[in-house]
Amino acid sequence: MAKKLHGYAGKVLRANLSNGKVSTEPTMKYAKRFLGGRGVNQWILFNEVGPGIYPFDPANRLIFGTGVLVGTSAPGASRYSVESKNAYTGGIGSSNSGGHFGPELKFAGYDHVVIHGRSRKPCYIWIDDGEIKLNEADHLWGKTTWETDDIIREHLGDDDVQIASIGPAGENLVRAACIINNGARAAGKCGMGAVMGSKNLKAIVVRGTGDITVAHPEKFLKLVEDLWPRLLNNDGMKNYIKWGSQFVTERDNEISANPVRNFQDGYWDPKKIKKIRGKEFIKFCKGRLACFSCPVACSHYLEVSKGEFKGTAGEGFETNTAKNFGPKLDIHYLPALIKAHVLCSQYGLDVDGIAGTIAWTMECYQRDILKKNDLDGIEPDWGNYKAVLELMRKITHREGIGDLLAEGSKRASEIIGRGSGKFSMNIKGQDLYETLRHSKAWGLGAILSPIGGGHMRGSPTCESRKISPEEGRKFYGVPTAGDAKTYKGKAKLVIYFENFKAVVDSVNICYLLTQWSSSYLINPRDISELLAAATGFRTTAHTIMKVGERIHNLEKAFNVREGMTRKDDAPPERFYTAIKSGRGKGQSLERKKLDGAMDEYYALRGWNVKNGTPTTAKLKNLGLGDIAKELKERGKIV
Amino acid sequence: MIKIKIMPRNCTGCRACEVFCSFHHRKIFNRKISSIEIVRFERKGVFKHVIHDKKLGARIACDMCNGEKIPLCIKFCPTKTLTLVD
Repeated sequence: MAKKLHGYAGKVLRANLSNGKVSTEPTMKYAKRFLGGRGVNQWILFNEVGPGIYPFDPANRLIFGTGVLVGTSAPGASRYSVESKNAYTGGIGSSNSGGHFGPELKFAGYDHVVIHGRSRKPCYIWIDDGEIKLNEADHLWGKTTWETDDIIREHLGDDDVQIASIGPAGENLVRAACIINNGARAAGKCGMGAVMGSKNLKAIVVRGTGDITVAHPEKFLKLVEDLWPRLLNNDGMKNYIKWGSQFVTERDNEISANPVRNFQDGYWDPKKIKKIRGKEFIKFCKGRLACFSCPVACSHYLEVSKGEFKGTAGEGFETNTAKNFGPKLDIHYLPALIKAHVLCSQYGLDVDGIAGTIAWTMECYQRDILKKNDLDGIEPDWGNYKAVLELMRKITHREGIGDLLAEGSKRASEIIGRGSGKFSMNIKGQDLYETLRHSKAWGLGAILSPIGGGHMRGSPTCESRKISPEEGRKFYGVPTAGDAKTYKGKAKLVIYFENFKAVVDSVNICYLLTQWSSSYLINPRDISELLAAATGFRTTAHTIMKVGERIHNLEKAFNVREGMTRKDDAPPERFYTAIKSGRGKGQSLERKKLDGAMDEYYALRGWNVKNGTPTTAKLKNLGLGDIAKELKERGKIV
Repeated sequence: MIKIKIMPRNCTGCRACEVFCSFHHRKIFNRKISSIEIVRFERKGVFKHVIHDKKLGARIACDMCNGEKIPLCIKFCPTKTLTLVD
């Protein structure tokens, strides 16, 4: 009799939308080397999607994965990862979302769902425990994610099914399209919604009634019992409980870390920030909504009760939304920001991606590169929220100028020319959210991120938490971890968090509840202990961080196979110019120092410093000899 | 007699109560066998709570976590939605 598998659901589901065939295979075929979630997804992607395949080609895969802790009582064990070829960059695409979809997938018996091919007509996948159906979705095409949820739930007569869907943005292959579940939770980055749309896949719908077992139940409970109060009593988490991530919006302004008018400055008018900061935001708050098994519940439910956006309501409004639509577009009317956020959820748009493209549009308008005539009569002056909402609608439906802007700022600037490229704030082609000038490791992490920007990889927050040298040494071996202004030790710090995030995404707990937010929260040792208790496998902090390193190298190898090198790890030129105002006035990236930190990073990674590519020796050391062989044969590495 | 008091307005819909409930009964995680059921009206940001004191389908009747000092749903409720009253 086969030994019982604990922690995992046990199966990988494959659905070929071209021919309607579905099949399963055992998760353990992959999980020993790559844990689960993002790690397994990326291994499948690397092996099944070769170089040069267009992201919207049926040969691309769209892969959903949940981690080994998902569905258990481990705090924040709610997430699912989505991997595919990146709709912006053509390199690695990787995103993840919380809510309740991931656990439901596991309860239904699947750790991963691999989508092959393209359906001839719109469809959705209905996973009812072991029964899989590919249902027609003509009636859902064109509907928002909210309408889609309502129609499917009504049709199935079950309000409790969990749904990951795309809105019109995904259907129309808008590069900023994301996948939405539970109304507001988004697998946002990398255009995963557009890839889903390219497959004519409107939704994945799941009902799961199965069990998740753990190998050592009492030990597992004890570990969770210790973590629960550690989270609830942490000062940082108390802030998230009270304000959500909105507590950083004003604080970051004080260090000139806001993306004012498409990053032209870092410090926003204090009168404006006061209108959108946490204290104002909380006035619209009617309650909080948590992801599965999360004691923190950082998401606030907001409702606008008066004015032109009266009746607008929704959740999931993070500091990203506040900064993207606030300082970045210069809008200081909070109900308009809430409206923009809700529209993103309904249309299925990533807030970072869409705001980035619109910021570029507004700056081009400011500089007379784009004129009213080019913009279908819209006049997007800074702060003109009506213009922003209209541009969002047009982009979502690829209507008029929206067709160009749906391509993201980099492609749009290449199409229109007129010197507009220098105002496209992107990394590797993906519109950027992060400000890069104020904290060195934060910037370095976003510049190096293989997905193209993004702070939730190697960018640590401990610099802004100002941890002491003793704490920096104790937790990360980096005494300068709390000093935002130095590059010293920051390459090492970024590597630590890149490897750690790969682990976090592969067991699929929430990054917010970990060391990333506060050094005293969930760390590699905690995860290894939970993993051991859940699976019965022998693990240590060291061994799982080694798996994290393997996953990060795999992700980098995917980009290298597509032809990316060190030149792609570059910030927009604007960040080499100084912040103009506020406490951070005068700060900028310094080319020589940044290059030095990057040299150090590649060397510490064991990669080729000149090209920024993994070496054969490093890949072999990580058990990725097969990858090294392929990259060498293709002439991509030495 | 001790009872579970519910303050729905405090709830965030995290389902920790459901998860720990199934763990109490069978040492597994499966929210659909739990004696407590959270109905999420997520787009309105509100929740309904049902405590099954009788077996219903796969759901196991609440035994107030017999053997535990305090029912696990109350112990792990992060928002004091569930409290114990006499």
